[in-house]
Amino acid sequence: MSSRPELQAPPEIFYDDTEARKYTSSSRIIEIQAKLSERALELLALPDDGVPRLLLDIGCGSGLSGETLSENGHQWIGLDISESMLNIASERDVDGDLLLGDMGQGLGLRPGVIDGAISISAVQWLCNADKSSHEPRLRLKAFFTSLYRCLARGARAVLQVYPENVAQRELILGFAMRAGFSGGVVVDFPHSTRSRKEYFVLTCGPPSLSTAVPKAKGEDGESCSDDESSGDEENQTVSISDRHRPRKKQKITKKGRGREWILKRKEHMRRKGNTVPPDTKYTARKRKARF
Amino acid sequence: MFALRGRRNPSLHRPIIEDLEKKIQKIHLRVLFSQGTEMRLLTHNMLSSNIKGVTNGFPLRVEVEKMVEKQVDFNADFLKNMFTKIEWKALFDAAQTMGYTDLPAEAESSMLDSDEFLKKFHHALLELHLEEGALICPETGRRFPVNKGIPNMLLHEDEV
Repeated sequence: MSSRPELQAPPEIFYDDTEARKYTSSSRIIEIQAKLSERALELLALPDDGVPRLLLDIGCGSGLSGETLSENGHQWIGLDISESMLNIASERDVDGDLLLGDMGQGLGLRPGVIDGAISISAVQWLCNADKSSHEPRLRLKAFFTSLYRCLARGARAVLQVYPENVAQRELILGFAMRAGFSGGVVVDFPHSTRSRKEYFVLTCGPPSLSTAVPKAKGEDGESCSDDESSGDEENQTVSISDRHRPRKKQKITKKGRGREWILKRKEHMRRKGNTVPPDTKYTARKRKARF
Repeated sequence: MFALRGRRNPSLHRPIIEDLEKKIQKIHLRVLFSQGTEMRLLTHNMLSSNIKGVTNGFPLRVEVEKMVEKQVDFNADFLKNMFTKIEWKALFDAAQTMGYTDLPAEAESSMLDSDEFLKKFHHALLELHLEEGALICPETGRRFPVNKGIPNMLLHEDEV
C-alpha cells in the first residue's frame, strides 16, 4: 500500500537511471520541487541586499531545487548519494557544483563557510537503515553535527521533510537540537492532506529573536485552493479508512439452538430413513462448564 | 465543485503554460550548449576530507587529468563576500596545479578594491573547472576520484 520511496529501496538504488529520468521529466514533480524550494529559500530569510550567497543543497538530486537557487542569483553546492540523479543534473548543466556523497557520513566541508542550507524531501531517508552498518541515530548525529559545523554563525538550514510519523519527526528534531541548532517546525497548510508540507527551520546558535520560527502558510482559514492543482488533488483523495470492513456479524443467540430444534431435526432425519439415536432425557442436555 | 472551478476557466492555466514554455526554451538552450557540470575551485576550497580520525583534511590535493575554462558572469559583491571565507593558500596552490599562475601568492582585503585583482580572483574561483581527475586527502593519501566533474566523496564503511 505504501508509496513512500524510502520503504522500497536505499536511495542510491531506488533512484537508478530510469527512475532518475522519470523523476526529472515529470512536469508535476518539477512544479512541486520548484514550489518547495522557493518556499525553503523564503524561509531561509537571507538578507535582502542582492549579494549572492553560497548555499548548500542537501539531496539535490537532478538539480531541480538548485535551479530555483540559481534563478535567485545564488551560488550553490549540491550533495546527493545517487549517481544517476547527479548524472542527469550534469546533463542538464545546472549552475551549481555537484558532489557525490552520503549525508549520513557527515558533510566534508570546512567550518563556517556556508551561508545557508536547504534540503527538499531528503532528510527522512536518514531514518532508514539500508545496510547492516547503518545506525540511523549515528547517521542523524553525524549529519546534524557536520551541518552545524559548516554553516556560518546565524545561518539557517531549512529542511523540507516527509516524516512518517510523530516519532520520526521528534527523532530528527531531537538530533538537530542536540547538535546545537535552535528553531522548530513550520507546517504549511496543516489542515490539508495533500498540500501539507513540513519544514524544519534550524538556526545556528542559541535561540533569540532572529531565530523565531516563521509563520506557516494556510494556517488560519487561509484557503490553499489558490493554487488550483493542490485543490484538485485534495478532492481526489480517497478515504481508505473503512476499506477493511468488519466481518459479517455471525448470528449468535444467547440460548443457542435448544432442545426443541434438535428434536425437530431428529424427527426429520427419521422420516428420511436414517438411523437416529432415540430421544431420551439426555438429548440436548447442557454440558458442564468445565468441558 | 472546487476542483472544477479552475478547469472551466482556461485563463487560470495560461501562466502555467507560459512558464512551461519558458522552461522548455531554457532546456533547449542548455542542450545546445551543454557540456555538463564541472567542479570549480570554489567548491574545492570548501571541501575537506572527513575520514574518521583525520584531524586536518584540508586542503585536498588536486590531480588534474582534464580541465576546462568557462565564462561565468562576474559579480564583485559575491567575491567580496566570499573573500573572507576562502583559504587563499589553498586556492593559490589549486590554481597553480590547474595551470593558472597569475594569482598573487598573498592576498589582503585591501586588494579587493582593485578591479584587476577581482578579475583574477573571479577567474580562479569560478572559471577554472576540473572535469576529470582526483582529490587526494593530505593526511591519509586517500583518493577521491572526480568523474564528469562530480567528485565522489563517498566513504568506505571502515572510514566512517
